[in-house]
Amino acid sequence: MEGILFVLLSVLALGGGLWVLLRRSPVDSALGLLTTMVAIAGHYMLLDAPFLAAVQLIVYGGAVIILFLFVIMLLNLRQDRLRARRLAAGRWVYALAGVAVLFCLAGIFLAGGTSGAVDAGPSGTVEAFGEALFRRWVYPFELTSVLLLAALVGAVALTRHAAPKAEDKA
Amino acid sequence: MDFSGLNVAALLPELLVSGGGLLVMALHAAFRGRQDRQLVWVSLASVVAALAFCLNPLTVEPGYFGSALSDPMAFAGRITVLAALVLLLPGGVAYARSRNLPQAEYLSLSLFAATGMMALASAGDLIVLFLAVEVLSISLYCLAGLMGERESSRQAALTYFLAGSFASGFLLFGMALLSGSAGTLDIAALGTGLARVSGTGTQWVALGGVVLMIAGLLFKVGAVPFHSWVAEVYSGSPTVVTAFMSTAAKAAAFAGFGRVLLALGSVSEAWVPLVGICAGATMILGNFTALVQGNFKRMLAFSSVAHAGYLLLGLMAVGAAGESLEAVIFYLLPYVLANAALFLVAAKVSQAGSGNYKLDDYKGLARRNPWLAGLLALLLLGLAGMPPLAGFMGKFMVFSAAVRAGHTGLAVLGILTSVVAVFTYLRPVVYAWFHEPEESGALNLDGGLAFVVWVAGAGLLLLGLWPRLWLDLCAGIGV
Amino acid sequence: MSVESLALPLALIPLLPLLGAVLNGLFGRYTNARLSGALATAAIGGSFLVALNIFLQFNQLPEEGRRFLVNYGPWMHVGSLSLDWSLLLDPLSLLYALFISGVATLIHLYSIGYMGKEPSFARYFAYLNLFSFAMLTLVLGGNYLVMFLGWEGVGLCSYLLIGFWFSDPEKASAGKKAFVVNRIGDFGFLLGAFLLFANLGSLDYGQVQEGMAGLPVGHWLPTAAALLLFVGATGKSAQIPLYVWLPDAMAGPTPVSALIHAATMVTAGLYMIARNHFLYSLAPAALLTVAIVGASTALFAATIGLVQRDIKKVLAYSTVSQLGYMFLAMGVGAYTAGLFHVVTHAFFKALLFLGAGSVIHAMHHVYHKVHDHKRDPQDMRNMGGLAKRLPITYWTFLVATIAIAGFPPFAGFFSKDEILWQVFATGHWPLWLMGLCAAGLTSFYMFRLLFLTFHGTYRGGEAEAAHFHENPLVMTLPLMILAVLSAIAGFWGLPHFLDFAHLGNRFDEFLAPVFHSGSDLALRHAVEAHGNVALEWALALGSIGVATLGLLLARRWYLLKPELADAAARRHPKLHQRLLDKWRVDELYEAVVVKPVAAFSEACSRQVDAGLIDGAVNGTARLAQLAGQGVRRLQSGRLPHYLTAMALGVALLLALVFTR
Repeated sequence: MEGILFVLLSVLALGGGLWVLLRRSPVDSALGLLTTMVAIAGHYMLLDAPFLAAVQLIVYGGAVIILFLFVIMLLNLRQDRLRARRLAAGRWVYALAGVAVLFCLAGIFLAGGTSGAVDAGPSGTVEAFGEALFRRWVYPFELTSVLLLAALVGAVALTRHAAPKAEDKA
Repeated sequence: MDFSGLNVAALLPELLVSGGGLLVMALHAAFRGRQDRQLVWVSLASVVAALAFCLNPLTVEPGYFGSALSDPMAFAGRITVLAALVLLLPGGVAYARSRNLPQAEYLSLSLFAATGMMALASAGDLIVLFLAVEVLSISLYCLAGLMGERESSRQAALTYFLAGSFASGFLLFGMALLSGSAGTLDIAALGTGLARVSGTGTQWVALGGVVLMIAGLLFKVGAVPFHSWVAEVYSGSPTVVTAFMSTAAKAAAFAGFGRVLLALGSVSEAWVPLVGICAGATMILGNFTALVQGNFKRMLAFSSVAHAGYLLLGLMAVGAAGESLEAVIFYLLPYVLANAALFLVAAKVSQAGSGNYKLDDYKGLARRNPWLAGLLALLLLGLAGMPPLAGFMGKFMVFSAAVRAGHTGLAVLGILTSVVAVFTYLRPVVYAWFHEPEESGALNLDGGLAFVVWVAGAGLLLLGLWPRLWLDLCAGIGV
Repeated sequence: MSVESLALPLALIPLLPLLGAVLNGLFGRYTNARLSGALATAAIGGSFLVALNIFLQFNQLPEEGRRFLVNYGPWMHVGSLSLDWSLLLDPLSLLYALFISGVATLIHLYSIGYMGKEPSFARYFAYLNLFSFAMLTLVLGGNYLVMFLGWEGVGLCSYLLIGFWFSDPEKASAGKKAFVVNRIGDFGFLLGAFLLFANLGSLDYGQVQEGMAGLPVGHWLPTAAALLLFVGATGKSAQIPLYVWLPDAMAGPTPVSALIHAATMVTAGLYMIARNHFLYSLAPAALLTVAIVGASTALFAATIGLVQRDIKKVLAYSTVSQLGYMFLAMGVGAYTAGLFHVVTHAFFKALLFLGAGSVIHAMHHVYHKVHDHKRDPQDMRNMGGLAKRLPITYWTFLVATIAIAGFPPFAGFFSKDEILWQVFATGHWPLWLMGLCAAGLTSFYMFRLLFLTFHGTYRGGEAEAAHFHENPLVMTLPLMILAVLSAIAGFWGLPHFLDFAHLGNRFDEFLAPVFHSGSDLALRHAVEAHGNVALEWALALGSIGVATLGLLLARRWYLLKPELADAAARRHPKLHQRLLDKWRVDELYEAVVVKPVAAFSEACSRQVDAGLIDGAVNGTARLAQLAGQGVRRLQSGRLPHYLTAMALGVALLLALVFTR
């Protein structure tokens, strides 16, 4: 049962990812991303981490995707302006590179299998999660806040000061 | 709740510097940008405080349950990063002011990036390692785009961001495979974890993880075959940011890289050839490409690729039993000093000349400012590895570590390519001393730049004559 | 004398000139040329006096006690590598320190007169002192790395001094060439040092010598190390194939040529071989290489010297050729004979250069007087008949010419003859023959120079000639002192067949404690076994005969019937042109080395800018165009290419690990 669910969720997650890449319409892409997020929440459930699954659904499946959709609608990107970005010439070379990496990675798993015994860690309850996040892993948690702060400052700096000048646009 | 394992003191340098970044933004907001000229002092104060703490580490215990290390290497890496900041911030602010970049954002992003770099140098587990890489990368992406009025700067930021994210993907996936198969996130415990699965199928997964991690880290240090972004990003970014990327960021990346490879000593037969091939290719490509650049900034960019090759050679030696990272850690400091100063000089000379970093701008520099021309020669010869400057000591240590570890062929290649490098570094010197100036009039340095150039020059000389000054601090690194 | 009591004076020898350089560098702009020069001269003169004092005490010590390793503290201790700041005093390093500081003092003194009107005199004297510091560090260094420090230092100072007149691009490129060619040699030096370190775990002379002690003759390690170190020596001492920088280095001021490119720096390679004699004595193949390179250089450079028109160029090729002799001596294991020639050559070659400088200075002065800035004051075709105008210069120059040409009893005869004899006695008669030919050529081109410059009539006309006057005492005094030394120094190393008064070969005895290891002695015994006095006499007379032939031919062609020389040139125009073009070696290097490196770099650069991926992508793009599809350039720059390159890199690394 778990095996079947795992495969199903994985197909969903990967399919969503491909959808994001292949659809030309940004809204379609955002919906593909939503699929992936939800599938990953399913994976967390399989891993016995219900709290994490819930957070994943609320934060990513909910807030982040909604934000994306808002941004897309605000920008009002039109189909015809997006068409120019087609990867025409090099697509076979790019595809070849991707396939090569995929091939090598597949080789690893075929050669190695997944017999690794990983320590499952604390069970995924809220208490265990909180205990882990704010005790053992409090430093990464704090570091993440610096990361977000830097991203925030950077985003403001780029939008406010780094816009191209009018004459540059031409 | 028991917080006795935290030991906040272990993170004091990171706290000071990120706090400085926060304060800069707060003051910027409080004064509505009217006092931005003074913010550099706030930044410098936080950096100097952190530096003072690092130079006097009163036997700090590791903190945060082993996530924040305080071994000599952590301090050596932090000091190198902070030294780069001390040199770059005053000149950087002057640069930002003259080119109408936002000063407060420049300062705070630099400080946040430095926080990530220091966290990387002292990272005890893979999660911190990854987050540290991301903190420094995100900050640098934004810094690269600060001169957004220019197409090249926007392009650099975008390229750096996308390529960097791509590399981070490899890094993260590699970490997942590695820690999953080794059963631990603790970097120091990776070796024993891997030893447990050796011989089983999981070993292959672990090796795959090692390779992907190495690929991600090779990108961060700008080594072949992951160097393709360097030219565009380094030449497109604002010069002070390029200086920061090629010095502090690279030093931190090498510190983290070294820590990982040191822990992976038990599977060294798997990664040593990889790193060796990349080191060889990097030395050749970097040095020969730098040779024909007619643009000083690009020349420095490729020279920094070449130096990544020598540093990789030093990392490779760690694969042999009983070797330490001492050579790499030593190499980094003079490299950082020389490069930071050279980029600032480049900005100054270019601004006074063509404005686009042509080598021709250096013609007759000796007539216009003999001291600057002399120090330029000193710094370039330091990079070229002329004794008694510290650059030579660094190369000597790296090569002798490689020879001890049995990589004689690569050491020979290193010496050979460093002969090629001499041509590269000599060209601006020849232009400065033996050509007639195209523009007349003295080229005067402002106080900040003069300070940087003199400090870097004196540091190169001092570290070359008394390498023990720095080595004593780094002694026993990685033991 | 003890290690403790030696520590200060020994350190003073290199440090005094360093102090002089620092003072001149910092405060030079507030002084005048005389003060600046006096300071620099005093600094190096102080070194000489200290060295002389040590030398006098040294002679009272027992032979086995003449070696002091003074340690001034640790330099670098990394892993198993431990290096100290240490200086080594033994007869070999003392010999070098003595003649370097002595000759350098005279040249500093001379420079006060020669560079007196130069605006940046303080810089010049600072460089000159700095060079002396580096050179003395090189010879006194107690391990390979301290030696390398000096080794690189002299290269750097040489670069600075050659390019001293930096307005001239030709001079700049000469300086650059010297620097880069020397770096190629240093590559060999460093490789050799790393090889020794990798196998013996030490870079200390004493420990390396101990490590070598047990090895059999012909072992690969000493052979490889000796050959690599020899590459370094060919760079610094201007031997084939790395001699090309030295003639170009003549672009520097003439006293610099005298100090660096004749008397001191170029003998660093010989010092290195002598210092590593224990390596070379274990490596017959390396020794033979040294000997062949030396003999070839001696002959080859002499042929180029035959036709050069620039007075300094002749002397430059002469230097290369004479250095070849010294290497030839080293190569047959006759270390002391080689070193003896180093010392005598330092005297007479410094004198020749200073004399040439005196001539050039005077010519310059005259051209200045008649407001002619087009003619070349170094071209011998513009000179002639200067003997009467510059008497002191002429007579001292004559002494040096006789000395270098190898006429007894001047210094060059003894040292050169000793070399040729040792070469012959060790059974290398083809090399001896090359050396003998070179001796004849030397005599020819030196007397050609002498006759063209000082004899006949002044070719600029009588009116102009009236402006000549002899240079001041500050310049002629060094000439006279060097002339005396060139005349009598030979008696320090009197060969035993001429030793009628049984004075003994003092030079040999002085250096004996250094060259006393077993294999060195084996070579010495070979010489003694072959030797007999009659043969020695015969060889000596033979080389005097060859020198006389050279003299007579030069006299006939350039003094008695000048038209004969032109006729000879016309009869063999191709050969003459080849010689004038210096056998086109520079052009050869340009084609074989410089161009391929440049092409490779261009290729690398294109790869980075355009990228392999670019190539592949553009290739498919072209295909696509052929197929009739319109292809537009990507908007997002080359980013997809970067990412593709990275992905391929990852795949490559993965494949590398998993296919092993």
